[in-house]
Amino acid sequence: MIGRTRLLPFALALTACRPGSGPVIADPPSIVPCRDGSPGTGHSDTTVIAVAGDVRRGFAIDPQSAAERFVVAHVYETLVRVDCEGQIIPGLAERWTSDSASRVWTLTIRADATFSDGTPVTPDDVLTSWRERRSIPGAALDPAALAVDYVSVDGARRISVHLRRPSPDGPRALADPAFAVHKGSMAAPNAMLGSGPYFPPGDQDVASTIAMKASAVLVPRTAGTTPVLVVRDIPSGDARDVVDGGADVIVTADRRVTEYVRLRPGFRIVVLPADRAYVLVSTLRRIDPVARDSGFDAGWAAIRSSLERDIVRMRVPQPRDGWRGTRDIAESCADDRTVPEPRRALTSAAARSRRLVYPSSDRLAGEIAQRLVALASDEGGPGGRAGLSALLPDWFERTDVPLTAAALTDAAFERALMQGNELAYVAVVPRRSLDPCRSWRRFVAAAPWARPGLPIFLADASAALLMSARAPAVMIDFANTIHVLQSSPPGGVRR
Amino acid sequence: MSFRARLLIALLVVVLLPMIVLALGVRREMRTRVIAQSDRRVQALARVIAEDFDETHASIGAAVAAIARTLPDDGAFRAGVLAAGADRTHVIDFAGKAMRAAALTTLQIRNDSGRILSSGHFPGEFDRIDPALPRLLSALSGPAIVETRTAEGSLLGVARVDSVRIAGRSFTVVGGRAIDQRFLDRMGRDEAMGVILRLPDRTMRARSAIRVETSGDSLDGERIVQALALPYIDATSVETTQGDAEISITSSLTPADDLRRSVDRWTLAAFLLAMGAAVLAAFWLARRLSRPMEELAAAAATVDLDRLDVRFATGRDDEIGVLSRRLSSMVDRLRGSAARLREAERRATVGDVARQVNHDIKNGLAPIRNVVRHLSQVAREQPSELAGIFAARQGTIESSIEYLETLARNYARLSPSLATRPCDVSAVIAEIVAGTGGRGAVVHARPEPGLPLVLADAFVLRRILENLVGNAIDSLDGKAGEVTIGADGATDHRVGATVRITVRDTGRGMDERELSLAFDDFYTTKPNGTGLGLSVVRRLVADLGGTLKVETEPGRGTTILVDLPAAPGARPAAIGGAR
Repeated sequence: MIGRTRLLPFALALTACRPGSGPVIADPPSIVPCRDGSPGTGHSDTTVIAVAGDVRRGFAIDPQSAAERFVVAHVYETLVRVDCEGQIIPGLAERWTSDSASRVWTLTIRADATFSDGTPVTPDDVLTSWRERRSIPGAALDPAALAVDYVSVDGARRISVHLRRPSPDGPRALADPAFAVHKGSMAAPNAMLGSGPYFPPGDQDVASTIAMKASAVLVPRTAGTTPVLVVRDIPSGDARDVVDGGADVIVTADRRVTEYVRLRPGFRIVVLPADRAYVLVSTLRRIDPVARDSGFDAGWAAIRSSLERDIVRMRVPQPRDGWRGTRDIAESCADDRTVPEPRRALTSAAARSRRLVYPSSDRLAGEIAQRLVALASDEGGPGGRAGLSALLPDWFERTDVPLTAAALTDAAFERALMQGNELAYVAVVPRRSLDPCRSWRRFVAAAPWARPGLPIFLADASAALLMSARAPAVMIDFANTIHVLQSSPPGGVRR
Repeated sequence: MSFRARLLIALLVVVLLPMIVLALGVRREMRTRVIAQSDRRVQALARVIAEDFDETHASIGAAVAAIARTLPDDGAFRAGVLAAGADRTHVIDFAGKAMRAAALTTLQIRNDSGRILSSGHFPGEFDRIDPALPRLLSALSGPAIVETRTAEGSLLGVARVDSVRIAGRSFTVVGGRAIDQRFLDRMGRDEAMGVILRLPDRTMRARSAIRVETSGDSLDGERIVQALALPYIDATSVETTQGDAEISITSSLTPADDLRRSVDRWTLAAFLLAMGAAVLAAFWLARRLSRPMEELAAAAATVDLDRLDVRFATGRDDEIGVLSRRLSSMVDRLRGSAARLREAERRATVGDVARQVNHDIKNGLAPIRNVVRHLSQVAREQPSELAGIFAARQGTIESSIEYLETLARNYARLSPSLATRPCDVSAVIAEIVAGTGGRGAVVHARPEPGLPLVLADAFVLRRILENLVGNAIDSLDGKAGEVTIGADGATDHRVGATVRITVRDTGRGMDERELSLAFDDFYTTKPNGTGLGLSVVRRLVADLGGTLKVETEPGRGTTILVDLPAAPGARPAAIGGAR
């Protein structure tokens, strides 16, 4: 946690720190992968993007919904970005070097980086922005507090970031939206300026549809037209309405929408890499995730196969990194002191239910839970009761009461997960993270009784990118946030 | 028991007994009729429920048959179930879509081995093998209750099965509609009836039955009137089993009980009202009837010879008016009689006083007459001794004269008062003895020497002894006899020292009747007697605080004993020294 005691070294670093000797140069990749680089034939200046969620007042500080993340990605910039394959690509910084320990990274802000009002972005702006974000409530769990030790300014365009842990493959942590750079006071969040290609709408509390205009960074003032991005929410009812409503780009996890678009001419479907995984967390599980046996592996594989084939029904591209199983969590976070130990004892077995609960808002979670209940009563095959018995022997040893599924409201599900008074939960964890243990930290915060070995990864899931003929070229970042590409200069992306 | 209480009891009996009988009869008759009416309604409801079940069964059968008929035409389904490795997404989702389209709540499609290919109510249960359910359903001709599994638990419904052949393979379609609480509630719309579905492991009941007190499966306050038996298939466990279910239509006794309680309440209210009215009427009537009687009684209680001005007359025409008039007439007559009585009494009293005065004067004149006769005899026979003898008898004459004077003063006062002081009984006796004689009687005075003084009025004491001695002499009837006057000191443990004076004669004595009348006023055995002597003696003795006793025997004489209290500390002076 970055506290007040860290302010002094942070300030001293502004003038005293210099780049370390023998810096290692890491050139940014010249080709951006994970991009649908071919814009539609009917591309126009106004592009309608449909992503789930409203955009709240103050979204820039802590983006939650896909819509907010989309807006933040287009209004503000981080020093670096990570694409969908995990490659670090330039953001505000055009290049970066590190010391031999890969802990101190010096980044050079690109020369033409300006805020939307035309003022250049300086290292002091970066420092001020980060310092201000660090002071917001809840910063203890913020990646900025956990990843960065202190920062020093080195010249007019260079800034040195001292990380808490070595990061040999580049300053990945700085791609987190928490390190976005803004200008202006966070006390007036709608007046915060960014250096991204678009600037946000005027003052409004919550909007399901907002329009962002391209800033001077993207379009010279002498240009005739100003590109506009219209961001609209996907209604919770029938999401296919947004397809018929003229959206150019749709990001959706709703299988019905994808199946509907398959029937519509002129649409392309891109299944995005897995960004989340459904896990089974049982309060009765006793298997050591590291020292598991062949029965576990066989049962797990059979169930995963059944779920991915019959429930998820989508071949989700696997990300290059990220978690795939409980062993990954246990191993990757074993030395991470920021991961808390289970701090809450489980409710006694007698007080727990015989239910498998899931959040009612997540349709896929419900289908997975129902399938698991069906498998628990199926005597045949390794994917049935036998498979579940191998994974969770305690389920079938304690009682003959049939396993049932129960949908809980999101709030009730959060409470149940916090209390650990249900037999098992179908929960969602991020499939990948800039910080390998960040997701696990958040999960432990939600389920204080959880241990790294408890979650059993059941199925990967992701959203699909649906693009009409008018859609512009887009790219996908690490978190499956789409970025609209206005042009594609030789050798890289120009935003 | 008062007249008011009797009247109250009578009114209560007259009013309440018929009311109680009426209430009991109404209560019984209403309950019987309500139950009979309820039974008829239950039987009608049972018919409706049976028809509903048949209709539902037929409707489900039609829906399941329609779904089965569409399967062979569905190419995606055919490919999904027949082609190895084919995408079976359509097959898995088919049952859910078809179930909703056919308004069913359960739908399963199975292949010939009993494997569930698609499930509408439990989408995740595909691939589970359960061949028993379609087989059991196929064996039934009528409606059956089936319990199937869902992810959330179980689902109870009425189910039908149908089959279809695709590419030579048999597929079964099992569909049904739920029997849930709403279904039961719909069957049991009548509030007075209960619909209970009994399954082997539990009981469900319609919520429409009003205020039926139940505990578990018990039927407190309910009567099973009709029961509809249905087969029950439990497909929730690994082994599908068949059992029996029953739909019981019950008639709640609650409405009848409510009606009975309502009648009871109204009866009680009427009972209390009538009782209150009876009490008020009893009080009013009793007051109306008893008040004049009480007034008559109170007026009658004041009637006395001294007060005969009481008025009983009222203006009433009833029996009380007659009674009051009779009482007034009686008082009027009493008033006249009392006036006459008082006049007679006044006249009698004057005569009595005259006789007593005569008696007392005669007593006072007797010694003087004796002395005068004695002096006349001396003057005639012994003239020389006249002076001496006169001197000797002069005291007797003077004391008699003084006695007569005192008597005259007392009568003048009419209410003599006592002047008690220590008095010598022996001296009085001596004076009495000195004044007696001449009638053939020998009078002896034998007072005890040293006799204590008595606390008395000497004049009264002399009147007592004059009367007693006079009576004693008279009792000799002029014959020879003796009269002895004695006096002795004695001690009574209640009053202390006393002096007992005895006057004993040898006369004729008294029998019991004479003795019982001897002290009454105006009773006498003497031809010229007043009848007042002994009665006056008794009153005077009592005035002096003494007692009087009589010992008598016919033919042998009488002894009068008078006990008078002795004067404390006083001793007798010389004989005749005390008056």
